[in-house]
Amino acid sequence: MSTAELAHCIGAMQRAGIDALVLGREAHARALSDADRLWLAGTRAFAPGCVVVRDHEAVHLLANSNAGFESFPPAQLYPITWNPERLFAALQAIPGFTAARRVGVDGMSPGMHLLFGALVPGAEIVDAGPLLAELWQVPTRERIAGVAEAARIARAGLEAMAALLYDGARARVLRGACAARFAALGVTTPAFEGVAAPIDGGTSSWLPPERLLGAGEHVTLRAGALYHGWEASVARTYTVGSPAVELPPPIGWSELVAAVQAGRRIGDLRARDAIVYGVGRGVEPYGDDLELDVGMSIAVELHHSRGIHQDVLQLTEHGTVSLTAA
Amino acid sequence: MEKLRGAMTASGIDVLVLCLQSNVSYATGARVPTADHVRAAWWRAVAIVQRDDPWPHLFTEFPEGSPVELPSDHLHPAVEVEAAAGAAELVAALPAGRLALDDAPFALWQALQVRDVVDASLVLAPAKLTKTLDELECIRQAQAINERAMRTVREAVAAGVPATTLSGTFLREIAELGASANVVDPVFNVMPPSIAAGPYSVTGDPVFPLPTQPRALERGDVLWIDSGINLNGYSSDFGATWIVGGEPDPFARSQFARWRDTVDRVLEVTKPGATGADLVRAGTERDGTRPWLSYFYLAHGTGTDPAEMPLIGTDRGNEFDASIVLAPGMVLVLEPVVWDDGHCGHRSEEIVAITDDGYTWLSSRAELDGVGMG
Repeated sequence: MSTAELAHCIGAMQRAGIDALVLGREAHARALSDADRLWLAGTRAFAPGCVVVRDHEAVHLLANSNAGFESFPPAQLYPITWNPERLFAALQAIPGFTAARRVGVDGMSPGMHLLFGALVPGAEIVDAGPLLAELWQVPTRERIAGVAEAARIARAGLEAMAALLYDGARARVLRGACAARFAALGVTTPAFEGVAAPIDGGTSSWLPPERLLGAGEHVTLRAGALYHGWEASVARTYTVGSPAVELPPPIGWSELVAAVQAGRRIGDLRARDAIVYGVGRGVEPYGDDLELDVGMSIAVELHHSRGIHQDVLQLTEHGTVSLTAA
Repeated sequence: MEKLRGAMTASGIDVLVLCLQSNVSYATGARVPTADHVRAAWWRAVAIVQRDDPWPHLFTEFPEGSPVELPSDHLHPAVEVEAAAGAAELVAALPAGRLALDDAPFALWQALQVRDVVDASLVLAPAKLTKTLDELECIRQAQAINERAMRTVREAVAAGVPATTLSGTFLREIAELGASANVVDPVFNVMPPSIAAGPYSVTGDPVFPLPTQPRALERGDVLWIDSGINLNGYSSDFGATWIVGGEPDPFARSQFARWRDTVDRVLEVTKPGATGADLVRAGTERDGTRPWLSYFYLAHGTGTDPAEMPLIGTDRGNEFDASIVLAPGMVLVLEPVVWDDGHCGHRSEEIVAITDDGYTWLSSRAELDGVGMG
């Protein structure tokens, strides 16, 4: 992270009265350290993967190398270990950490709770979520450019899938085509694996069946990319065929997009039956009361009887732009 | 479920709350979309297992991913345990009794403070440590897809091809071959000839694995490969060393021979009743060198998580290794590393399962510059 971003984080810790942060989620660790660690799918157990100590204005990271983020000080890396005593010693050695009286975390487990009890005895353990949410709303140049690039890649993945959406196509073949297209653009990390799901009542539209997709059927395609940790995604609904034909956006879509303006609340958009969340360091959950502002990027999704339509919209000084429209 | 409920009885746990995707999948068979960490956390399915109930309760946003045999009164809409309201709702629904939890978003952890909570590894570790014959077959099939995809990738390796293109080929192949999901960014690392010529290393060992880079391969590059996929909830693990655009030189050949020798020495003592320490002893060189990465292991388990117990030859030391007693149904991914500083090294992986009188193969045997003998 840049010096300015670290300053934001330290300032937010000061305001929240948090002495140290212990973060397990990859997006959080990446945001505070610029870490470029290997991508793994799915949820992971909470573990001290990244520690921020306010008094020392220092970030410490669980990694064997700073390869790919060389500006990170090597002395602030602590290595992978399977030995709880070694992990304990590595954390204990972080200057200022054991003196923390209030520690913000992004998860917890019974085992980790015991470790904290021994490491920072008596410290109050609190939710780091609100502090992190505050950081997400700082519109940095890297954030704006990162989400825009992720959006370009997501769109390319969607188009690769759409090109194969003919009579007899298999959803999993399209999933592979999406990943291969991402990789051709140098990105091997998805926000989620590509989805080709027929519109079918009673399902989430995220887990396709094994059967072949048939001509004339309505199928929603979704692509989501993670570009150096920045997320963007897109969804469109098509009629299967050669070529597949994209359905127009649902009624109310253009009014919804027009409502995405600085000063409007997220809740106003949700009142239009839209699914809305922030995109940046992956999914960034936004509350109803959050006010939109220039520099923010949001995913907006609308469902109708024939399908699903989703874009990433970015608020700029010159208005709202869709990053994922064709 | 039978194994899980048996482990609950043995450890005196009445209620199990599972939030980690791999544990929910293990307990219920539920599928969720494959996603990045934070997105997966917000989408998480949650399982509640009771000792006296033959079926788990599943809370999910993806009902089509639940097993068809799950009774409808055990399938529930998703509960948002990342937020206080959802967490409180789940805790209010929990039955009485001794409670174990694997991992929780902070909101759920806070809501659970009204209960005594113990670590679910008390139940999960013994249940997951050995696999049934069905589970072993799932791992074998997952591994077969992984290896078959890698055979196609091997043909695409050439000077000028970006390493990430190999990742794309792999991801396309596994999808087409029917993998349920990819679980790790496929690793195609160009290894440096020496540790000093590579990236900064905290441990002093070669640094591996790193994210694959979109950089063109060059003739003579030594590629260390690692990939993991999931098939119906069961994981596989592939590792190999490939040389770009040429025949392996005498060093590469000797490294592979030493790697093979290490694996074979370890396999000679691999049978029920042997301890992790026995395997470490067999794998250690005469001069006391341990030919594997100091921050990993000689061998690890796989199946319900990509890397799980038994972990053998880690930095937990000899006493820990000695406490691991091999038993039928355990899975071992053997991954020694031969390194000659200045001349790079060899790393491959082979997978075996412990049987009643020895072991059986779940992977192909590794070969130099190839995928395996199929």
